[in-house]
Amino acid sequence: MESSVHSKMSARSRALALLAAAAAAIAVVPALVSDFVLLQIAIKSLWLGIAGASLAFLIGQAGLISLAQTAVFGVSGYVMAILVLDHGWGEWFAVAVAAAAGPIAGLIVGVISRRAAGLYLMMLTLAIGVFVFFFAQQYQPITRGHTGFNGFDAPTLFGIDLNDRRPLFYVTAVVAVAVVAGFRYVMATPAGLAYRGLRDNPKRLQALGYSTEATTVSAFAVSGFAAGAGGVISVWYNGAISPGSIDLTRTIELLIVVMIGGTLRIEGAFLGALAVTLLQNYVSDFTNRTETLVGAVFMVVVLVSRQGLTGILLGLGSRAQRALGWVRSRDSTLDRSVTDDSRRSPEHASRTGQHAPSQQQARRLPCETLERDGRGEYSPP
Amino acid sequence: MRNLGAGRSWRILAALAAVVVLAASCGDDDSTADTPSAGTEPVEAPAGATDTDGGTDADDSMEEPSAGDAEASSDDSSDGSASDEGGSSDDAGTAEAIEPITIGAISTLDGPFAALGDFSMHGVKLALLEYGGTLDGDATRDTVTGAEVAGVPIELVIEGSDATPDVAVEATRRMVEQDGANIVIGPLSGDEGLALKDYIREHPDVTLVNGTSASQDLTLRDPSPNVFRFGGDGAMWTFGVGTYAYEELGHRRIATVAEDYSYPYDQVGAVLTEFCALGGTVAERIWVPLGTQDYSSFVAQIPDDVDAVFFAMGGTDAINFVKQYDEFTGQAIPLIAGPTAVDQSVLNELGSRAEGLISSGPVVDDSGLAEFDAFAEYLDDVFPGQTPNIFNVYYYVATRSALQALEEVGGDLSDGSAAFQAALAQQSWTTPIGPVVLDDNRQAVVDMYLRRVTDGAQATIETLPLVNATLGFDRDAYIAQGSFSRDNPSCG
Repeated sequence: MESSVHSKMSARSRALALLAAAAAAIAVVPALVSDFVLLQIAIKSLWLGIAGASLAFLIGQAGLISLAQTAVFGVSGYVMAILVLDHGWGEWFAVAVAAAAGPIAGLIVGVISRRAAGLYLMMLTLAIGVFVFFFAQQYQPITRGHTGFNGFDAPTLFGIDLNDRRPLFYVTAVVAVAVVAGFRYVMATPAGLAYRGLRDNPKRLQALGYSTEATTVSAFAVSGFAAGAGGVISVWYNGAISPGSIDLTRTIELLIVVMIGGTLRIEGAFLGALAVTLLQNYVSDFTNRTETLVGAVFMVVVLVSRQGLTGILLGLGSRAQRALGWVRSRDSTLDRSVTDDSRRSPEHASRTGQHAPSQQQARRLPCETLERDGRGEYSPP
Repeated sequence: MRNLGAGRSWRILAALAAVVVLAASCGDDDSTADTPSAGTEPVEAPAGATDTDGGTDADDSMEEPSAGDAEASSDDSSDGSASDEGGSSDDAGTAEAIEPITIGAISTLDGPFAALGDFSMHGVKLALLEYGGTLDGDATRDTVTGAEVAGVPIELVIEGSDATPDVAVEATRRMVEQDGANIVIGPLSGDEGLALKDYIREHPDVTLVNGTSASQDLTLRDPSPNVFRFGGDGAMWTFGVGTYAYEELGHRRIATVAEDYSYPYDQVGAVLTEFCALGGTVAERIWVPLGTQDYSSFVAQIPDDVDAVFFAMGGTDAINFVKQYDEFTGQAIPLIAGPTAVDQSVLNELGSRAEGLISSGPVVDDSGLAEFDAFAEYLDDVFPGQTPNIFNVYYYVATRSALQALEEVGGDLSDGSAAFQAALAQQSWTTPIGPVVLDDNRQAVVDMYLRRVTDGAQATIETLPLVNATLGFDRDAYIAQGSFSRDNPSCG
């Protein structure tokens, strides 16, 4: 292993390069695409990606597969719509409260499901998600029932109307960058290490003196920030929110976004969101079997790469690097290219993959798994 | 595992890609191979399509499709009636390449109402076939090509939603902004309609002609100038039931069981508005969540001493409810149905249990209207085995109305579709389900039918002529009472 100073430097410069690339892309996109694409592809995949990032964080970092993120997302959206349309609040006050509602809702989901793991966690969070959906659908005095809230106008920011597409795009993009930066920051803190500990070996985490329950709850709360932000922007985008915005179909869609994008990196959620949005908008031009094709693409991506599109891209990138001779050591390249995260937690892939047995196995025998994978450079956190 | 050999992963990818391509191409093959014969023969354009003052000519036009006289579609374009009647842009148009007019049709092609989405698209396609179009295939998303109005080619774009407003708006935005749709036909469900009204209001040059969205407030309150509805709303579809129950059936006290959202509110509201105005009372209003499977707790809430139970539900909800209602009550209390609970699209599912159920609604099978019989025959010709129901009829009427208005203005959509929208607002013709005119809010005034299920079909008890959006009540007072809800109107 290289010196830690060196790797820190390169990590920082890489992050800066990423940020610069993101800024450039954000600046250029509105000039390149039509108004339609800007709204329905770019803005949509950004807010869907923001919501997806919250789930990617939970799954990829803390190993918590939650089906309640759509509910958290919906709580924020509903809070804003209710405060503005039913109580006449100023838009930005409502935005602030709605943004705070995200982590609070996340916290509540976390408290409820703090002891569950694996399949039970999925069932529990699914129940919460369905509960929020039916609450929205049935509790009319607050949620206006099945019709929900229509005709929601996005606010103005410094005199710029966010109902216009360019300003909305910029705001959404800035929020997206902030979400990614926020998650990356959290991941770099001791708390981030604790989340990965929770994912990789909860028993050892406990033995080290951490409370797995508190770690779980805080992971849900942190992810709630992003889910809430996504919910707020989705209401601006749709100009409406109804139970149909947070139903089971949307829950599964979010899961697909994350699976297609890959949980290796937070940014993968945006890749997944872009892919799903493109499929939804353009596949029907080619075939009558839209759903079949979307499903097939999903299967292909997941089969080819456990880590979704991110994994495929990173794999291609490392292969290109090797071909160009940028990296000398052939053996270590692939592993390193599949990111720092996986080096810290090689069994990550199997944890977040669909194999419950191998997951358990990994939890019990991390070192054996390691050796079998033939990866020598693992150092425990 | 993760070091999956590159060769292997590519092999999997290739195999799956091949499967997908195969599936996609199979779909296309199916659809083109089985194109119905009637669809491939262009049908003569209706001659009476442009009359604005009554329905006599329309009789002829409805019979023409069944005559099945094949004529080259290009002949239709030289039909002089359009330029005679006001199309001045004809000559200018033919000189250079004519910009086609795009019609976007949206219905629920995915999700719980997908079957109804198929019906709706049948209606849209039938109308375009009358204008010289040819079916591309018999799959739902296969469009119609070659249709022309006043020499202007008409393109059809089809999009689907899953009955949620968000998806409906995205699909419509795709049609309007990406495919350049000038006219949008649809949507199917009530809340989708409200969402589309908000969207289409921002695009005044685009015209929305509603399909079967039955929300009252699509047109009744805060209407948008470019939204048109050539059919009834949920309340209009239920017109006459309350009065009939009170006066003819002698009911004085009823209970209602309905799905808990705006469309059933309108149905229950309309029934109770009439029923209570006559002096009837409602013992209990029971609201069930959409998609409820187990109705036992709701059925248990129905008081024993009511004269009848009005139920307003759709699709499988209606079937599940009726089944469990029978089991729990032994059919002790008679049922009165909402319009879609016993629509022709679901009547078969209820089977013999539907026999004798009374309801009100826009479509009956024995109206005796020549237009209806012609439509039924035409429908069966093009889409074998299909019979008229609320969805194919309404989408047909919407599309046909738009095409007629287009013909009147010679396909001229300049000036933000001003002339076209004005012509559309003046449309007045005899549809397969009776005459239609629009009120000032561009909401249809149409016939409804009080009907009884007889031998698996809807038989007319009474025709209720020219029902308007306020059910014949004073307009201001009716609007002032507010949208129907769980407890509005208040009654007994």
